[in-house]
Amino acid sequence: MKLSRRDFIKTNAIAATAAAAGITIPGINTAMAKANNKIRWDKAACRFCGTGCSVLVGTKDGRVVATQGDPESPVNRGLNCIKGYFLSKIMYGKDRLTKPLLRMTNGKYDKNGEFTEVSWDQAFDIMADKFKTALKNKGPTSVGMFGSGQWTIWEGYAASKLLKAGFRSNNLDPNARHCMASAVGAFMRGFGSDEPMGCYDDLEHADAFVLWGANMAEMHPILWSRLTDTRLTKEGSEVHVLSTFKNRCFDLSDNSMVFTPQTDLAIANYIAHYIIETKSYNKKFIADNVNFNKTPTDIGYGLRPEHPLEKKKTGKGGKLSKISFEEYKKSVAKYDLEYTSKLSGVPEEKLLKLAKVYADPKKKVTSFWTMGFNQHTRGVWVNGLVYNIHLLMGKISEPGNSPFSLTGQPSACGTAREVGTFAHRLPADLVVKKKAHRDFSEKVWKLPEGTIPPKPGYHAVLQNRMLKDGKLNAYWVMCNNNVQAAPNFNEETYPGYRNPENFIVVSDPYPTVTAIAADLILPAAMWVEKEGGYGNAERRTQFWRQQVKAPGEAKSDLWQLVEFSKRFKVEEVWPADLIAKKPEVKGKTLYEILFKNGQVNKYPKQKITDSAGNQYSNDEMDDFGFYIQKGLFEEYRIFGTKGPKIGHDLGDYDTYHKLRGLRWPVVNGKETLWRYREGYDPFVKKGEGVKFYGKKDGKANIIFAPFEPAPEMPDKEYDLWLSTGRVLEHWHSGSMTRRVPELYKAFPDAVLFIHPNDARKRGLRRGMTAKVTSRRGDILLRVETRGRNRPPEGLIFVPWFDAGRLINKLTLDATDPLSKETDYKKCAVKVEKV
Amino acid sequence: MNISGVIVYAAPDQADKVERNLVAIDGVEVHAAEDSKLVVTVEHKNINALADRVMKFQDMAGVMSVAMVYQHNEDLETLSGDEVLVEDTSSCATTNNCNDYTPEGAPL
Amino acid sequence: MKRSTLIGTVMMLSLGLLANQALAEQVHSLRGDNPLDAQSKEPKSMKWQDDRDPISRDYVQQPPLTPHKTKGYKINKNFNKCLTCHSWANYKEAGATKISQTHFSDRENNVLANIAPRRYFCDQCHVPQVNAPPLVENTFNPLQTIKRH
Repeated sequence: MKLSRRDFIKTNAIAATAAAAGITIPGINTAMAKANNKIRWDKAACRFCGTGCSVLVGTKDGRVVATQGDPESPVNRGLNCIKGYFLSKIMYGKDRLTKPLLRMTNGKYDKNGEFTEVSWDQAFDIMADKFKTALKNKGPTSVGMFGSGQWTIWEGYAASKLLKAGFRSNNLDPNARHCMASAVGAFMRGFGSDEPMGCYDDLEHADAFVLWGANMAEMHPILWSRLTDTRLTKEGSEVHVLSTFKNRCFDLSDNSMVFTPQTDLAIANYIAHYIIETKSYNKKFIADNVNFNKTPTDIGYGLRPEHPLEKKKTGKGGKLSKISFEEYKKSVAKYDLEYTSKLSGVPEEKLLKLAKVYADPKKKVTSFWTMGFNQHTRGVWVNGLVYNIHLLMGKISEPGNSPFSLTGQPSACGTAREVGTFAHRLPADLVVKKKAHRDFSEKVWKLPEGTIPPKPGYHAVLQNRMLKDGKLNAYWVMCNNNVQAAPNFNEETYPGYRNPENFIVVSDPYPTVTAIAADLILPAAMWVEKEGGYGNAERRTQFWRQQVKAPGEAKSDLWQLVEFSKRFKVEEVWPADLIAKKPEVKGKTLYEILFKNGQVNKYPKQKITDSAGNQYSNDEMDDFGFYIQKGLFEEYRIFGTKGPKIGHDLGDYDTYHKLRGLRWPVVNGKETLWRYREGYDPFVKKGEGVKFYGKKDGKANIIFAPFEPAPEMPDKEYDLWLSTGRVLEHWHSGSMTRRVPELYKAFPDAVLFIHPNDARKRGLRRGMTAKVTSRRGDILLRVETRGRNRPPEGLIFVPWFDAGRLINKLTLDATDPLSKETDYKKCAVKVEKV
Repeated sequence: MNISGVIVYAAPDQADKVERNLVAIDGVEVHAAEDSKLVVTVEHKNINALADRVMKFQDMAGVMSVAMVYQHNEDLETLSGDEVLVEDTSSCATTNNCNDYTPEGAPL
Repeated sequence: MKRSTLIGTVMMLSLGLLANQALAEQVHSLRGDNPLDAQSKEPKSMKWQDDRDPISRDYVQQPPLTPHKTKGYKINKNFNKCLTCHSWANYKEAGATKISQTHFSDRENNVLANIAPRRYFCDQCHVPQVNAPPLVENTFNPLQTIKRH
């Protein structure tokens, strides 16, 4: 059939319009269908935050030409935020890396040489050489990897196998250490199982929302839109917002509280005190489901051991000791209204209003928090203090009553936490310290007993310290931008990357500041250039198919990890006594042992099609000759279905390609919306009511922890608090969003959000350049006194997406001693006119 | 030449009247009507005039709302002559799959 | 602070060419040629674009950018400045673009009489632009047939 161009266009117009109206037009239908097919639409999880929106990706002629919110997704129902709507452009920054780049002089590797294009073979040659040298000279603790909550599930899993089993090094940590580790710590201490008990449906069920250190309006816009919907349509609903500065959430707030940094510890304890004082607590729930505990205090700030603050500390660690209800009651009694109001700077009536909402048995309360709680030197404590409140009231594990820890990265849950790419973890909440857990992992992986080392490896901040100290020498950074992200750039990050003893490899789609700091850059495929899977903050696992090819010689992280494993003979990495335990591994490569193990290579090459018959590529399947993503996932799934910790079951691989995700535990194909409660959770039997089965006795822990001051506070010279964070338009370190012109132009550079009085005192006005200095470094920023964030006097806020002005030259590398997560929200700085 | 695809939502009992009024306008065609929704294309050589025309639909008696879902702009010269081959696509799958998802009504 | 490495790197580039090597184009991060350990450059002064005609879109599903300044615009639970011009009641008088038809349904696809509360905070999707060239050129190619005004 031949059509004139005009007819063709008109046919397109009719087809699109009729389809949008849901009308079928006989006769024209077939031509229409063809017109529709001009763009192939398929689902994918958004590349940015932990909300986990689903998007439809439109491709044509091998390129993404459009993206839109997925109407079928229960998470976002057709909506996206500004970043999501521009996903179509993130892969097309002109400076995409397309070839491996090695620092060379006169054709040879030179740490001080110039980045020079090399082949993948050359790149892997030098890399393997450096890893083997380090392993030989100093053993497994001298090699390491910094991974990502942006890795796909199977990439994180492959990395975990390669490092923990292949190289026998637990020096694998994800950038999720910087954002979620405190949440993990509190989940494990409180409930014995990671990740929220509730789900996003709480957003429609709750009567009251309390935001503790979560600027959802900018950081989780789609969840915020659901919260807004409830607030504006449900009678009697209310929003309470706590933050150290005013932000966009205050625009919807019914009770706005700006508190002095670190006093969130006191505020949470005050609410517990109020609940007990007014006898509002749920006696039966407490008796049946809760143990009372206290945690060691004065535990330091995770700084280097020689730091004066570390020498001064009197307590250590997080070993819980049981206390009685009466002892708990006494412990929180100090945090009365007057004391707490004075300490926090929040007026008494506001604190009282907040306490009353929690204490009202008829009000369903959902608490949200993110980095305000997690990036905190008492992060595990403060997470736990909010669980205390919910547990006292029994407001947990049911629709609308939900303490909800939100996540920052798209697969902080699905990859970093569930796969266990932390220095102390294994898949499905297992840990390297426990022999039973190692044994099980080795069994699943078909490895000899004793392959996985029992000692936790270096966590994120420690990795940088060990690079600087020359103890970590062969280091691979993948899918993150840690030179921009890690605290204390000048003293602790950059020196380690440029330490002549070290060889640093960075895999990334773009030349990030981390790539520039490296010795070898490997070009990476990103997002829909590979088949992928992410897990979001409500335990939802979502998959996508490969939509387009990566540019040039860029390869997925999965390909890089697995291909690199071919470079190692087991004799080069394992001691003879370990090999002797399983002689059949002799002479094999790590590739054959870890990936061609009869499980991962179980699924042969196949055609990838959707239900409409469209065909998709799978470059890794073509390269390795088997359906590697499926093989890895199905092997990984054994940890959830047969592992020592119950309640971590995932569905089978093919199912996730058909659905908009499922929330684990997935039992008999059914997802779980609320955990630990009969009727919702398949692991709670009839008659059990509530059972926190992550703990042996089925009871959750209320853990008392006091207010303790921050390690560095404003003084005479450094007279302002510095809080860092993000903005709506940029995510991660801006390496993708700043390459989208529309997003860049909406928020081009980082600015200094400061109170007009603080600016005036320093001779500064809006738009002028200021120098911000801490004890560790200084940067230049433009002054903003009227923007979207309005700090109180005495505090400034600076977003960290801007590579041009690295705010982490100022931040302090103090961490929560329990979670090892950095406190990016508090240090002391001064601001001067330039 | 500019071509727009527009959904016109008519009041329940007035779809016929709206259709009659629409087709009386030069360059406007109605291709289908169902549940008081009309599938309409509008052509005009001037893009601004086309936008005005579509806006005016909103003010017509019996029209509840209007959603423009498709727009194509092209010089008249390039429209003459060349032909586009469209294969017989009777075997194409139905449109109830996300892969065939058609853009939702877009903003005016 | 150490800056020797990268300054050295820049020098090596010019020398490297003499060494007759296949050099990659100088690789820069978003810091441009400013070394990682150097002081940040003076931030550029940028201005929001003046009021202008609608900015054309690259695909129909893209939310329109805001073609005017929004300084001082308030959107809170009692007041929404955007709606004073863009609502269906006001757009004609204000000469503004009308809120999209897509904005009138809730999560369950029920059609509402007014803008959907979940779409209430306009600035989650619609943002103004500064007058500046892109930081990095983007090679995204819109399809002409779906590029929209």
